[in-house]
Amino acid sequence: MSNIQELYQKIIVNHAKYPIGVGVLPQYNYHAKLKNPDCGDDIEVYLKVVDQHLEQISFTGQGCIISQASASMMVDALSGKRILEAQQLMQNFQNLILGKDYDESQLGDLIAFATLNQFPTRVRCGMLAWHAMADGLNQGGISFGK
Amino acid sequence: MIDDQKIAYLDNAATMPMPDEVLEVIDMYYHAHKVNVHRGMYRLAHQVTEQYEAVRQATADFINAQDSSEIIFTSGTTDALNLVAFGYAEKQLQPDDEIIISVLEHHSNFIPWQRVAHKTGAKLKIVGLDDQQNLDMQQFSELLTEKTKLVAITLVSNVLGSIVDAKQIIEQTHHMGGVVVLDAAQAVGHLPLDVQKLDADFLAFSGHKMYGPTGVGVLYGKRNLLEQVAPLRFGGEMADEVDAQTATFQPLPLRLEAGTPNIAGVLGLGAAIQYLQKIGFTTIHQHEQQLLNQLYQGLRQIPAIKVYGPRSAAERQGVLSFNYGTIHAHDVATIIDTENVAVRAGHMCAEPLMQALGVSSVVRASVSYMNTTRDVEQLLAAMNQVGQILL
Repeated sequence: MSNIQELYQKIIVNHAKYPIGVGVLPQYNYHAKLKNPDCGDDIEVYLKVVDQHLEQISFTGQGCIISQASASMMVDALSGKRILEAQQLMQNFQNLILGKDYDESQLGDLIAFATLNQFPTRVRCGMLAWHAMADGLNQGGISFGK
Repeated sequence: MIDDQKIAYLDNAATMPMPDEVLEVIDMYYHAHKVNVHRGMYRLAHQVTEQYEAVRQATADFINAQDSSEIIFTSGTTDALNLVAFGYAEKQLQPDDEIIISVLEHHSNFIPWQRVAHKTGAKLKIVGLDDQQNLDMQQFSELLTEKTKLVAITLVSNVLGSIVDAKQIIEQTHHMGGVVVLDAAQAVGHLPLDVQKLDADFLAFSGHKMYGPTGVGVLYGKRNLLEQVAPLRFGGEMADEVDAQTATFQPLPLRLEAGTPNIAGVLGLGAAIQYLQKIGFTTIHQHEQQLLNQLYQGLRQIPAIKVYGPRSAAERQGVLSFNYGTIHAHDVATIIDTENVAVRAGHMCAEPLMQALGVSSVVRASVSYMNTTRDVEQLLAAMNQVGQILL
């Protein structure tokens, strides 16, 4: 399988076509909107945080397959996780798509983005939803980093 | 580099490649002639100054300006448009005056006017598209009043490739007593420009979109209007007499060219003008029309592809934008990049136009005289890959 076929493999394309967690949460307490200035795409992420847990996550917005699939997989991977775990997973995922050392055992389906680091102009698409989530938490006073 | 990698380079609207004769002139300057202009007493400085000023004359001839002092060298179109906006318009406009621009404008001919309107209290009015996705001339006529002091409009859309009827806009605006600024960035490499025939007041373009280097551009202005442009930069070259408290300035054009200019850039621009004149716009036009036709006909074979802007190649210059079904433009561009096809994907620095078209991004293929039919074939073949991978 070539890099490009691997990047656009079924799991990614399907997440983009049938994304998990699209819409506005009825009772969110953190949220942020982030725009990718390269393409004009934007993603808005809504979070319901209870007792240091990401109880629910959702997103709205338009984007490419990479940003939409990444957002969908983020919702899937982080819903119900503790903030600390979410932080670690984001760091791990960021390492994966920047071509740094990562812990495969923690990534689950997100490993599908393993070849994204071969497409440096698209790394931003892969991180867009994650950075929006981090912005929402940071701006709301939960120190999440980025 | 582009050749070595067998890249089908179809992003000429972003910047065009440079032919050898342009590279040689730049190379010669940096290798053997790198002296400053307008100041050295030695013969080489005089010689390079003469070459530099000869490009000013060649540029005036190229766009049929009356006099070479009407040519101001800038760092590019953005720089030139900002000079008109903040050196001229900001000083002239009053609250209640009106500026007209269009939804076709590149951000560089959009944001400066937003800022000028904000600073002066003038009102910014925007002409939209008609149902054929051409500039709505009817709406333009309705927006134009005696309050319209300035109209800033592109000659060729950098997204749709459509040609704006600038002559008509200028006639109508002059009739109301307004001034017209033309953004010729996307036109200059494809169309002959005649500022006198158009009766343009100001016109801006960049060297790198006409086979020249980056970092050099031109502001043309009618002499009486350029006289009213205040310098935005002060320093060397533009000063005449300086004492401890005051300074007087050089006449045009140097008054608006503070500091050591982009000498290699200007010499390269001169070589690019010679290149364009050697080939001739008729030949360039024929070649590019052939490529655009081939591209349009090829894309039409893929039912899911939607092309934006004029239907026929004859109504567009160099540019063709499209989307492939609901597939995002960035995904298309990434996939065809792996087939060594370079196109632009995104909002093309024209977000208001994207909003008018109802999309967030498009794929843009743009051609130059240096492209071949093989480049277009390579793109069309790569488009099949998109379908195979994603559909």
